[in-house]
Amino acid sequence: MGRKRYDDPSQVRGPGRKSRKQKDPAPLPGTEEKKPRNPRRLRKQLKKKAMVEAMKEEARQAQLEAKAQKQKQKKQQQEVADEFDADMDTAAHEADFFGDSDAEEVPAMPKSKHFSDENRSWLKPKDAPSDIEEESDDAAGEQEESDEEADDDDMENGAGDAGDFFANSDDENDFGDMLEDDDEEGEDEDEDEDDDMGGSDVEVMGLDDFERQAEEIDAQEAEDERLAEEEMMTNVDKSDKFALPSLDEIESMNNITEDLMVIQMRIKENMNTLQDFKTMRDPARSRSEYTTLLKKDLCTYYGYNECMMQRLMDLFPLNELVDALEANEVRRPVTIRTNTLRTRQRDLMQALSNRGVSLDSVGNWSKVGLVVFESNVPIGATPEYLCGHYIIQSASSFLPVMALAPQPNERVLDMAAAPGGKTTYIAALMKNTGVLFANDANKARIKSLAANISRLGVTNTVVCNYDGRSFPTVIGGFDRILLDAPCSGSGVISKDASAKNTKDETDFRRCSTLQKELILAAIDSVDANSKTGGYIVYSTCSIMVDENEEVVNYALRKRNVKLVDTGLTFGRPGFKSYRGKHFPDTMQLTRRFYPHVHNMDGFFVAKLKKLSNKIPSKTDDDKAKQEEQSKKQGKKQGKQGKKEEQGKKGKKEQQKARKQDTANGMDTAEDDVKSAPTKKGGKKNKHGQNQQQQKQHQQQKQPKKQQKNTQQQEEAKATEKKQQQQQQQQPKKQKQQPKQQQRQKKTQASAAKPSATTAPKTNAVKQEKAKTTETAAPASAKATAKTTSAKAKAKTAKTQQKSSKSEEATATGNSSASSAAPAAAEAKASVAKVAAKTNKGKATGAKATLMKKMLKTSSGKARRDLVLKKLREMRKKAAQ
Amino acid sequence: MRPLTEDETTVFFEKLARYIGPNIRLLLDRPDGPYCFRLHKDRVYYVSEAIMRLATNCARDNLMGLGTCFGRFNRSRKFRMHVTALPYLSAYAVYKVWVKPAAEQSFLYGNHVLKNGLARMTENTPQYQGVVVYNMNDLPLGFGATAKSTQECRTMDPTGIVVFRQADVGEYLRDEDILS
Repeated sequence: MGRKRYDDPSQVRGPGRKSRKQKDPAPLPGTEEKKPRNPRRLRKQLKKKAMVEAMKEEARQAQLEAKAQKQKQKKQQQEVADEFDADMDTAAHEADFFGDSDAEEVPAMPKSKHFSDENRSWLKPKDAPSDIEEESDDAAGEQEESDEEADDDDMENGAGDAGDFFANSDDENDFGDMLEDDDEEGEDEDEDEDDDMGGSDVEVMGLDDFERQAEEIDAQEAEDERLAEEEMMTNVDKSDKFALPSLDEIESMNNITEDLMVIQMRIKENMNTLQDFKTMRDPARSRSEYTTLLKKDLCTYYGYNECMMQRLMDLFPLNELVDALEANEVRRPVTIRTNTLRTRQRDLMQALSNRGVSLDSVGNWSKVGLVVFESNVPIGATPEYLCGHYIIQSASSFLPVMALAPQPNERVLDMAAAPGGKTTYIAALMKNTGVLFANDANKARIKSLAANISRLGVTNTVVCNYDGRSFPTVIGGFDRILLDAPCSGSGVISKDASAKNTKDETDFRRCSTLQKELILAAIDSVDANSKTGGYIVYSTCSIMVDENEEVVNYALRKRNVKLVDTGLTFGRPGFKSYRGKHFPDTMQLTRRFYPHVHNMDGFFVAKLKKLSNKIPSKTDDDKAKQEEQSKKQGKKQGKQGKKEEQGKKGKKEQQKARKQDTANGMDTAEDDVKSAPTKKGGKKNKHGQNQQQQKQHQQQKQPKKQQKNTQQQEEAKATEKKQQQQQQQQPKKQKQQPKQQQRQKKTQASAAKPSATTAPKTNAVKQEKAKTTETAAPASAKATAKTTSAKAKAKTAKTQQKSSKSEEATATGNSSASSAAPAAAEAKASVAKVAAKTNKGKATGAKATLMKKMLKTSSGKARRDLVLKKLREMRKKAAQ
Repeated sequence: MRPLTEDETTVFFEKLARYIGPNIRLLLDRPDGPYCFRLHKDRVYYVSEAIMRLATNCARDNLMGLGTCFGRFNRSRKFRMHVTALPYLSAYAVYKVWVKPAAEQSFLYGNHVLKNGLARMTENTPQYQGVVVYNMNDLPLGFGATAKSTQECRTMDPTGIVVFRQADVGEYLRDEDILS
């Protein structure tokens, strides 16, 4: 390394010229920030170093100063001589000369970064292991050895060089030093070198050393990381199986804020386990425990509240869930819609690309949509925008309008219009003819609606501010109605993240109630006899089933409407059945859009065609349906014809019926149950009879498909009703026991299949209960064990009452164990219902009221503990 | 919602005639059915009669607008044109002014048109005449009144005002509340 210098003694220069201007060595970022392997040892070394260095520094400084003075004098003399030199050629030469002299001095600055005498302390002699050193190492003992292990490679590599170096160095001093300490010795070597050698070569060595050091640090960091990871892995998981934390651990998790990395890892493992549950599971733990933990982790990791997460978990299979959640974190691309009233897409693309906007067509499904990739100008403030050539609108908002397919010269209503994206699209499709009513309930939002309408040059609109529910009283006879209902916004979480944690069960219920009222109002405002239309498009930016399929199903039951194809070429079909709720086959004609699948906001679109203007009242529901059938079949009978006429003329009747409906709409859940004959049947039936029903349904479905005839269904329903009546005559107690068993089974079943595509038939009430028990599932293994034992007892059917008691107790215990507020609320409901159902007299009633009280009065953990305590007592009693 | 009174009609038509002159007739006699002006909450709306009749179903408080709003009467019963009338003004405008691309942005931010931003204008435009302002792609950007006649404009100082701005499409962003 340094040896070459000595070959050419003529080149020997002192370090002075470079070191003279250098400041104190700046601490090296790499060495400073790095964690010492053995801090105590390093500190010791540093102390020693500092002492030795300080002494040497003094000596050298004195030497340097002397040298520097000499040189200065020399230089001055030389300059003077040059100036007076008669042979001085040109001024340029002079400039060169001075330039050179500067250049000689200036580069010292950058070089100083790498190496100089002052900062030589970081030039560690990694490359200087001598025999002596090794000996000293041995003497130092095992501890040091273990510390050095990581460095062994480097040492061996450098050994050759170092050996050479020692052979050539002049050494009395060195050897003495080396005996002291290996590090110190290294410094001395360096110093000796520096004193005698030129800077440039030393610099190379310094760089090498530095790099080696950096590499070493890197390697060590990687090693540390690996070790840390390993450690974490061993902490989390000792086998390749995912070990579910115990209940106590889960409890304690609530109190401690955990590292997101840990949570993420646990989510991953939990997912893996759940996807191959048979082999990976811990046989002592139930699936619901795994899912509960998973839900909790997902909630903390993605920032959802438990209610929303539960709903998403119900909606998506596990492998899709994470995709969906991740997609909600990413913003959708900016899309704009060409206003065909003002310009053409090609012209707009030209104009915008001239302004430095890179954009492309949104896809071959839309002729007016453009995706903006990047833009040098604000896309919402270009002259083209202000002149109304386009509007910024998400791709999913095109879909309901495309499904509506408004024709020129029609009378169209947009029931919830603000801020006018869809309204203006409708007007554009109508080519500014006919009449377009743009309604919105919110006066503040109407401003932006009116501004957009006038900016885009729409002239056929009437803007009004009504509550959509009251619209049929204002004006009717529309050819088409678009109802883009207000919703929970679960499809547009990427736009508005507040939906993640601000919605609870009551919000969802409120939303769907409002939607049900709105869709009825929309249907009532449409003219079924319209020559071109009679269509209603219902859309939401939510992906929840109870805001979509259920609302449509409600409309199908309440009015003479049918689902028709939306005309959209993509999108997933709507659910035919969801978590025990069953919808008509035609529900597949609706369309669902997901952020992670279609890269647009989550959306739902359904298109309905109104069949008759008659509003079927509750009492003659069956009659109306018969009427509908006959109409379809084309057998026009005198009576029905009359009825239709009455329907047209008697507006008052209609309104009455409407009022009834809206009144009913308020208590939807109850109403659902009452008005659904099939559900009623399911509610009262035993399991076996339920199956019977299913068979009947299947029988019905086929002819229905073939002929589009509902008559057979009607008959089937009638027979079902008869069956129900018969069953009602049977003693109640006998029914209740198996039913409860059934419910328990279903709870488990639904827990096992959150996707619920193949979930068995259950009625609405049951379904809700299943949910409560499932949401409230962080149940102890004890509890589940007891439940199963209770079930076994129930099967033997000798001690029915007792078992049911214990079952009930466990169920409520489970529910109260869950910490979330909504779950508690549900639990309350379930307690009440169970109590009412089992109907076991005063004892149960008293229990229920007691629990209710407790749930109401106390709060939080204290409440939970109290309830658990009471329940345990009760269980004991029951066991006795 | 009601038809304009005699006084209102004169005030309104006088104002409108400043921009489109005798072309007002074309607004009323249209091939696609009769159109009318209606006053609703001090605003004048231009709307087809068929739509107007349907809009009568809405109560006064709930009706927020129909057809195209041309402007509004202020409290002193003077009429003020809104930028929402621009499509009709630009379609029937008699006198026009074009601005250079460089001055386009300035105009959209609510500034007057200066001489150095003026690309071209209709010959023989008198002073204080209502004009519609276009950009070089013939997009209507707004309207205003000329500060100088065409002749005077030729010789004037480059920083002098040529057109006083009265409305521009930038108002859709700036004054959304006022427009409706």
